[in-house]
Amino acid sequence: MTVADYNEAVNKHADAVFRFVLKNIRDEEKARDIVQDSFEKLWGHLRSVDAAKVKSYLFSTAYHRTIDVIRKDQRQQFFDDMQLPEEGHSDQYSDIGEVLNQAIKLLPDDQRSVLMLRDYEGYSYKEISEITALSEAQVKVYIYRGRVFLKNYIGKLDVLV
Amino acid sequence: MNIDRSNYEVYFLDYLDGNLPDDQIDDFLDFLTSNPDLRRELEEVSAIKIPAENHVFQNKQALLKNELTGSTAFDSRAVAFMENDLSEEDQIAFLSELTSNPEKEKQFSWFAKTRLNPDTTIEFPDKASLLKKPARKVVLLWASRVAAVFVLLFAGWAVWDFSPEQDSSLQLADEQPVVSTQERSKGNRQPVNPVSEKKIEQPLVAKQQELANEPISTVQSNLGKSPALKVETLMVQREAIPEKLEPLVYKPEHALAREQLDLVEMKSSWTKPHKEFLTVDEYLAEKVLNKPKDEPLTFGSLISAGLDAVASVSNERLDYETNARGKVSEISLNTRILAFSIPLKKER
Repeated sequence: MTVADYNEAVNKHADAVFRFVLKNIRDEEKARDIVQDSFEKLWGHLRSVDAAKVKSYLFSTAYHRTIDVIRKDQRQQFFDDMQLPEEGHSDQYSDIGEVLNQAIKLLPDDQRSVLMLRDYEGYSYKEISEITALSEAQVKVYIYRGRVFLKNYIGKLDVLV
Repeated sequence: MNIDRSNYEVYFLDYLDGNLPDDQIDDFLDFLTSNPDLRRELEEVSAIKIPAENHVFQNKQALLKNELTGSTAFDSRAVAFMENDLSEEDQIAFLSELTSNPEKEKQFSWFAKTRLNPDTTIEFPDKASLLKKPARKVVLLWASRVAAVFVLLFAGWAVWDFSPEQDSSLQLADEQPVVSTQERSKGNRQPVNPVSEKKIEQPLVAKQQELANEPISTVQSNLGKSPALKVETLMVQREAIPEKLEPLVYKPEHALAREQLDLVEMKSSWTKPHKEFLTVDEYLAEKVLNKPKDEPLTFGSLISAGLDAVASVSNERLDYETNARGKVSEISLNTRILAFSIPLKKER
C-alpha cells in the first residue's frame, strides 16, 4: 500500500468509519480519537496492508478500539438500558430514521455493530466476521436478534400510534 | 444387602446425606459398633463441609426475554428473506405467505423498516490532519542535504586551485606583458643585434649568475608555449645589460625581420590548447545529448552525471556509492580537513 492509497483511504473511508464509531460510542470526541488511532495504525502498517482490504482493516481497527473504549469506560450497558419507548415519543419522531436512531442505541454493542456494518457498508457475513473477530454463526445470530429487536420496537410504536 | 467392609462407603454417603432407609439404620449402627476404625472415619468425613460460594452472574439481564426480544418462526424467515439467505423456492413461499396473511404482511413491513441508512451528514472533521505527505518531505529533506553538499563542494572548488601545475617560466611568461623590440628601443635598453645574439648569449648567462640579486625585469620576445620554445625564447633577462659588452650596432631592419620571424614561428608552432576540462553545464549537456538510446534520461542519471562531474573536478575527493538498483545510496567527501558521508536512503 502506498502513501497515495493511504490518502485515498482517508478521503473515502474516514467519514464512514467516523459515523460507525460515533453511532456506537455516542461521544464525538472519543469517536474522533478512535478514527485518528485507526488511521495511525494503518499508517504504521502501511506496507503490510493490502490496498484492496484497507476498508475492512480500518473498520476492524475502529471496531475493536470502540469496544475497548466502551468496556473501559463502562458507559455502555447491554440490555440493562433496554426499555420500551415511552408514550408520547411517537409525537416527537417525525420519520422512521429518528425512531431507528433511538432504537439502535438500545441494542447491545455487538448487535449494533454488526447490523451497522451490514446495512451501512453492505458487508457480507464473512467480512463482518473478519472485522469483528466473531464467527459467522455469531454474526448471523446478532443480525437476527438486532432486526427482531428493531422490528418489535417499531411495531410497538406503530401500535401506540 | 448386608453392610460389610467392602460396601460400607455407599452406606456412609447415604447416611450423611440422610438418604439411608430407616430399616437399615439399625444394621448400620451395629456395623459401626463392631468396626470402631470405620466409625472414626465416618466422623472425620462428616466434618468436611464445602461452603457454597456466592458467585453472581452479572449479565443476567441479557438473558431475559421480553416483548422486544421475543421472536417467532416467522421472524426467522422474515430476517432470512431480508438478508437473502432464503433459496428461491423459499422466497416464493415466503411471499405467498405474506400475501395470504395481512398480519404477517404488517409484521414484515416493520422488518423492512429496520434497514439502517447511514447519516451522510456526519463527516469526520479532521480529515485533513490524517493526510500524509511523507514523500515530498523526504524529497525536500534529501534535496536540501544534497544541495548543502554541492554548496560545500562548490565553495571548496572555488577556493582550491584545481588547474594543472604549470612550469614556472611559462607562468612567468603568461603573466608578463609582451614588449616589442621597438618599445624596448625606447627604453634604456639598447637593441640587440640578432646576428650577434648567439655570441652574447653565453656571457649573458654568466652575467645572470652574477646579477642574480639585482631586480628583475623580464621581457620576452614571443609567446611560444611548447617546451622547446620555452628553453630558447623565454629567457629571463636583466634590465641591467652588462656594460662591459661591446657596443652593438642598431639595425632596425634586422630587428624587425627577427620579430616578424618570431611571430610567424609562434603562429605556426602555437596550437590552441586542448580543452581538458568541461564546465558542469557542458558536462551535463554532453551527458544528456550523448546518452545511450536504450538508457532513459532520469533524474537519477542526471544526479549520477553531476556527481561524476563533481568527483572529477574535486580529484575524487567526493565519491558516491550506488545500490543494487543503480541508485545513489551514499555520498562521501574525503579531504584532509573534512571527511563525512551522507546515506541518501535507508535500506529496508
